Amino acid sequence: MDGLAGDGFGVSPWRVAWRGFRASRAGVHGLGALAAVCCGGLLEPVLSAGNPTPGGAAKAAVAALDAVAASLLLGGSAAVLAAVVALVWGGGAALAGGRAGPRLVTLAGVAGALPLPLLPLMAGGLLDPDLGLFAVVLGLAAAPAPAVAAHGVLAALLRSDMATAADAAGLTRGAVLLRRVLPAAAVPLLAACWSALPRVLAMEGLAGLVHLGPGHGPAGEGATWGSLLGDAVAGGGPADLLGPGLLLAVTLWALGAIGDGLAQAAATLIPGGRRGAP
Amino acid sequence: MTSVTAAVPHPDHRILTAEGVGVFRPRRGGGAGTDLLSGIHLSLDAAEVVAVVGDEGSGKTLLLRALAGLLPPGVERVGRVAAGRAVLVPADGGLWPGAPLAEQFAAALAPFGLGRGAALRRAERLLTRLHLDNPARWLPLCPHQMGEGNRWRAALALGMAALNGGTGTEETGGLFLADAPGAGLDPTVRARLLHLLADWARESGAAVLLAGRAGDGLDGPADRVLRLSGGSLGPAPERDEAVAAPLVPSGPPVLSVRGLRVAVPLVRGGGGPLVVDDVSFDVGPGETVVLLGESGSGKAVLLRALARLMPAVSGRAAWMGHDLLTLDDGAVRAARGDVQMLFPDPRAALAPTVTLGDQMTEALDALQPGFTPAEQAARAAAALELAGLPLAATGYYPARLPPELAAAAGLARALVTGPRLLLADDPFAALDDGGRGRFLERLLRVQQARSLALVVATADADAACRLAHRVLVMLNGRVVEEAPAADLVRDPRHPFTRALLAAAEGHRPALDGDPPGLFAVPSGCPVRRRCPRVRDFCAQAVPEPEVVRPGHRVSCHYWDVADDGDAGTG
Ligand code: SF4
Repeated sequence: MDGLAGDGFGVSPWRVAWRGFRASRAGVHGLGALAAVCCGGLLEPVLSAGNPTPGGAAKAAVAALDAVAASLLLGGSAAVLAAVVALVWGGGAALAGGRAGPRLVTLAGVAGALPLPLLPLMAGGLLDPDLGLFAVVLGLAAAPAPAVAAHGVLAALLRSDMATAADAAGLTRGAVLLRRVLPAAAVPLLAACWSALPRVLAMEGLAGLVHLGPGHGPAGEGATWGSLLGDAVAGGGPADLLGPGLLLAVTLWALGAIGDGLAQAAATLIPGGRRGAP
Repeated sequence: MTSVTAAVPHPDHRILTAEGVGVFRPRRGGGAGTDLLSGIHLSLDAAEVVAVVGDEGSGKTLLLRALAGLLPPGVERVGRVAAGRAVLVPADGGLWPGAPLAEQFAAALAPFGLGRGAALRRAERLLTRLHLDNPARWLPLCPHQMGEGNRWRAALALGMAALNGGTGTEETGGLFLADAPGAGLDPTVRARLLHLLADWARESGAAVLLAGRAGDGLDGPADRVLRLSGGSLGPAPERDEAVAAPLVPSGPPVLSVRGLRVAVPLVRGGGGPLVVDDVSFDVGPGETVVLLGESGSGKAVLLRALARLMPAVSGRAAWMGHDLLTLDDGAVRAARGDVQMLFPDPRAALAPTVTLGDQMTEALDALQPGFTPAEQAARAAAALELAGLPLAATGYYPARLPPELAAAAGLARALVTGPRLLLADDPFAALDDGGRGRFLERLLRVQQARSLALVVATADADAACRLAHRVLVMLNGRVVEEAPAADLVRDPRHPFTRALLAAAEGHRPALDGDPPGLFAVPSGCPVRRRCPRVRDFCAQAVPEPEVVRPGHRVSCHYWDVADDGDAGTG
């Protein structure tokens, strides 16, 4: 094998995946944009202290920055729940196989095709003040699509020659799952589940726009971008829409771009995407 | 998409003249760029067929694109290219996925003044030339509704239509460029298709330049074969590959397979159609048996059943006195130290997130517990050395290894437990020609060093005959011919064997059409719809094995009938 050995084959796959992410221009820009939004949220007290009685668009912008933490916390917690449900649902379907597996995936596919964004609207109307329950509904509504993707990733890996070869090498089914399938699936699954985050933020924004969901309390405490959008539609002017609308749009774009970067990282980790990278 | 470049009139029958052609990637801000191809001199006359072969990444696609004037952004060409009208059929065939074939042919033939009706009639003629059955049935369909073989027939016919309307002369023939034509097809189907394309070129005056990997059958129909290597074009060297050492008989068989049947499990716990049907063979110590067959022949399933990676319906596989097919889980684990497997794509078979060394150690832990870490390290080092890898390879992550290195890594992983039987499923599938030769040599060396019994499944008849002591030709789950490799090369009796050998030698196989799908196997002899010798009786009974001479058996009703011109070629 003279002349074939070369550098770089011992580079950790996680570093390779990170390089793949960095090679994705969209992913890097998305990460930068998300960081900028978070920094804006952190700097909000400084900005509002320098201008204690802002008016018009400046006031709306400060309020939108003030809502960064609440929006991302709500979105993040709902997305984590969505990811957990998706992994259990999709992973369970992949492991169950037989007749139950395809049925579970079909169910997820059907649920994903339903107008689930209406679910948070209804829940927002019924559970208005309960932020926790609202986050749960958001998470459940966002789970089916990543569940289908997670099933695709795991089912492909469980059927792959990698799993068969590990079986031939004497590994037990548990060891095949823990030491082969799950590490290989980690980045593709992260990419699959990441899509839940922009989804829940978009749903929360939609619910807020029609004045449902949390954050519509007095004096705007616990306000999210959705609730600010709703308030602006209900009583404010176009300038009030600009701040939360812009921040929500930038955040959604950034999250989508990071998702692209993660997909590229998954493809770099496993060249050719033969093992079910989404 | 099939790409067409504008016509430039040329005075005589020389269709292509390329002088001093180079392709380079310019450096940003000026200065010398990176040479990708250099000093290419090439000429093609009307009705001439030339094959350019080269390993993966040698620049074959770039050369075709440079000649067609269709270079991708970021690279530039130097030198002179004079060509008439040119068509490039890209590596995937270039059909529009969402448009019916009829629309694509009508658009391709419109510049030749053909209305829709005339264009469709011309399309049918071209598709018939490439042996597409009942072309009128396929024209309204989109490419994704066709099988791989028919999709390639349509892609090449569309290229022919776009070049010269399918009917040219020496003056109007044009230049037909095809990148890896028929890639992914079974060898007999691909060889037949390329010969039909060459026939058309010689009739229509087109000059054809085929580019692909050596060993992909491009050289068969070609008048000249050139090799692209290191960015330069030169004559193709003769292939000189190792062959198996003669087998010295030494004792009873180590593996004895009898009446093996394997079904595709379509539902859990339920049966499905048989993909391996009543297969029996023996493997002696140090012997190499090759299962030679095309897709759907059942060769890979057979290996997996022997390795207990899928269940068998019935049969016996006696290994060292134990039936591999009925061992309980504990005994299977013990047997797996002795019986190891190589997979077609080792990069996909090795875990991407675990180093090769750790994967070897895990296999030892699981299959042969009791070794100390120092003993495990010594075994891993020995396996790496046998596989031709440096000791540093224990730290390699397999997913990003180049194919040849990955094949060696897969071999090292399999050898670490010291197996006495190696089951290799298409071990050359991911390798280019050079890599295939070196890996074949390596496998033979390992076999001799360890006295391994080797069972290899492959569709590559050339590799099979070099590697094997004995060859079992498989078709639709059955062995249709079995003979020592030398006998099979000298005197193949089954039409399917003849076709496989003909395709490997670059001749036109006599078998026509595509292999039947799993659910469309005809009654009687499974190859009768493609067989040039077929008679009525072939539809009535599945042929049983008959003895040609000791050690040589064939399953054909008419194996002893004198040839009527189908000696592998037709
Ligand atoms: S049995 Fe008939 S159809 Fe089959 S290979 Fe022999 S001659 Fe051909």
